[in-house]
Amino acid sequence: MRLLQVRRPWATEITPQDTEPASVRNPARALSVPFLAGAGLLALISIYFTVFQTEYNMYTYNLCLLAVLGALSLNLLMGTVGQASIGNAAFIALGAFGTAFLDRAGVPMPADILIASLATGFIGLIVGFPALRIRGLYLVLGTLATYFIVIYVTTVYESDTVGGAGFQVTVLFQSSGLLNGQRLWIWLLTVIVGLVLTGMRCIDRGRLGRAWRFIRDHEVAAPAVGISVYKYKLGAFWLSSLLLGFEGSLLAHFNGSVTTDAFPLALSISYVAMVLVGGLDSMLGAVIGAGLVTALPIVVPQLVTSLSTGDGSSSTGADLATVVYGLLIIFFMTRSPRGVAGWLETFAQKLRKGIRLRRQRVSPAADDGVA
Amino acid sequence: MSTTLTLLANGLWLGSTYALIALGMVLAFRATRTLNFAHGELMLLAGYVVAKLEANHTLPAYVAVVVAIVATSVAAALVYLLALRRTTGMQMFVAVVVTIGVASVGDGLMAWGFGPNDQYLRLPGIPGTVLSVSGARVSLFTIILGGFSFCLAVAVALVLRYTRVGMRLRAAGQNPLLASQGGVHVERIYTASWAAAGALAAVAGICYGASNVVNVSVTALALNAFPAMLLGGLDSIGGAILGGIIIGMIQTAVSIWGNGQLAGVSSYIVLLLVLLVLPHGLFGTREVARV
Repeated sequence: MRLLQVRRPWATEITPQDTEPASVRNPARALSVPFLAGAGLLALISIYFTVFQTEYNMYTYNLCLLAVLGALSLNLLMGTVGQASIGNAAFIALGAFGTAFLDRAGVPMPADILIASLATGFIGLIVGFPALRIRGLYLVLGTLATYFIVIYVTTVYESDTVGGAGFQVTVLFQSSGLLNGQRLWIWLLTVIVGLVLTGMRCIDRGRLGRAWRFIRDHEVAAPAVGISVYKYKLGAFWLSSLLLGFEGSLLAHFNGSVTTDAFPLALSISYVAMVLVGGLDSMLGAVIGAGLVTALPIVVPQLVTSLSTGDGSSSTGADLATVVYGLLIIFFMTRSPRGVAGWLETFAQKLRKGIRLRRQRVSPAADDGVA
Repeated sequence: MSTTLTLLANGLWLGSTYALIALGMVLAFRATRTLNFAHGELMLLAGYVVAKLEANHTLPAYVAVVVAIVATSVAAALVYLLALRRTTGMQMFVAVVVTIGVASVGDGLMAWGFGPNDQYLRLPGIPGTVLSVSGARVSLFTIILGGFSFCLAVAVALVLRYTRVGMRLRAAGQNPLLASQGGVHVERIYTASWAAAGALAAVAGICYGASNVVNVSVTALALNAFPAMLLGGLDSIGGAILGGIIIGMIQTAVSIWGNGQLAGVSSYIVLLLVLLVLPHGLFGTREVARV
């Protein structure tokens, strides 16, 4: 037991509370009260941003919501299935470039998002086949190579078609003006994130989620109980790249332009940071991490400029944000592998324990009173 | 004929650079089984330190080089002591992700501290002579660099094989628990090997900076050494040298007959192929999985 704990700290720490009773096998039961409360909170935050915030802050919030999709996808791959990947920016790029391609071909709005996401999912499936054979360190290297190859392809496509300026894509809600456009985007993305969260939660708490965790923890034993490692892993690769492609596609319609420069390797690493900050194998963690990491490079420069009166170089803030990213990754990996979600869980447990203790203390006293 | 010679010369230069970079990575991997994504940042640090010392303090170049090597190896040792040490016993990719975090910190700090400008190193004793061999122009420095990486690799291999420290390092890398029971201070050995890997990174960074330029592109160069390392087999010193030369030759060949962009990505195509066909590389230790 001790040995296991050393090798996979989060897995064994999470497992005791995570093994939920058989009643959860009904997917509808997966939508528990805390989950619905969380979704409600997200809706409230969206209302707050649409009503009270400036256009720029709404833009930032939209970026956070978009990042949630990618973070959920990477959380599935890294947290639930245990496949470390640093190629995720490539799949976002594929979604965005697919949308640009379809947009130029004249495919109307919702169809191009759908086709681009499905195509990215398909490419993820193709990449997944060789990835079945490799794991651990080798998979990290393989995804790194995939990233560079995909980025090479998009660079060549971009420079051959439109040159360095990048593709122009029709912006959704452009006709409603800047402010209302951002507002409509918040509503659209809140609904999308809500739906994706619900879907992922049902998958996560059902048969698939259990099979994935089993593969993560005991890959050799999984086939012995009838879990096809190969099918489930491919499924995970497909679903996660589909989600990343979906995010990229929405991002293209949100920004209105698609360039390769928008998908550096640092973007991949920031998604890894989201999952680690939030906590591996936690959907709540992915949402929190996406918010924190996306807002960081926007908030840190503001803090820097408000703190320092001297040189107003804008790059200083971005550099500091990079440092903070790195420190967050190091801190959460080495000190707190269960992330912010783990803290919240511990806090909630203590709270529950405290309430129970108080009840116990109160009830004997009441009994005494009656006696 | 001249194209072939140019290919050989340029390939040798690029390959020796990769070999030097991969040498440091292999040393760190031998000890802690970690792929070091922050190796490029260590190289960059050494380059910047030499450039700044030369520019600001007019120190003799050799003093600046020694200071840079010491500073970089201290930085690498600190990376191990402050961050990587805490990942002992966790899954392998945890340590890799931590080095990615370290790389991110290094990128930010160096961009902040040294600015975005390119730096050039002026080291005396670096020959600018260009030999003309049957029509092809071959820089003398290329040949020296190739020989130098080869000698350094031989030295590292000899130290690993025949000294007490080398033996301890191999033992600690293969089986930390058993090594510690045998009286090896595993943490000290790991720290020392990370410091040595940092020194090798500094040497690689300064060599590259002396013949080229010191800027952020060095970190991308270091990522390109992963294919070389994997081709050599991840944990083989000789493999790192051979892998580096092969990758350098392939990239040069692609840039001569194809284009520059394709050359940059060709090493990653090789990486994927090696992963699929030859996962233990040319000289790597085969991992035997017992179920």
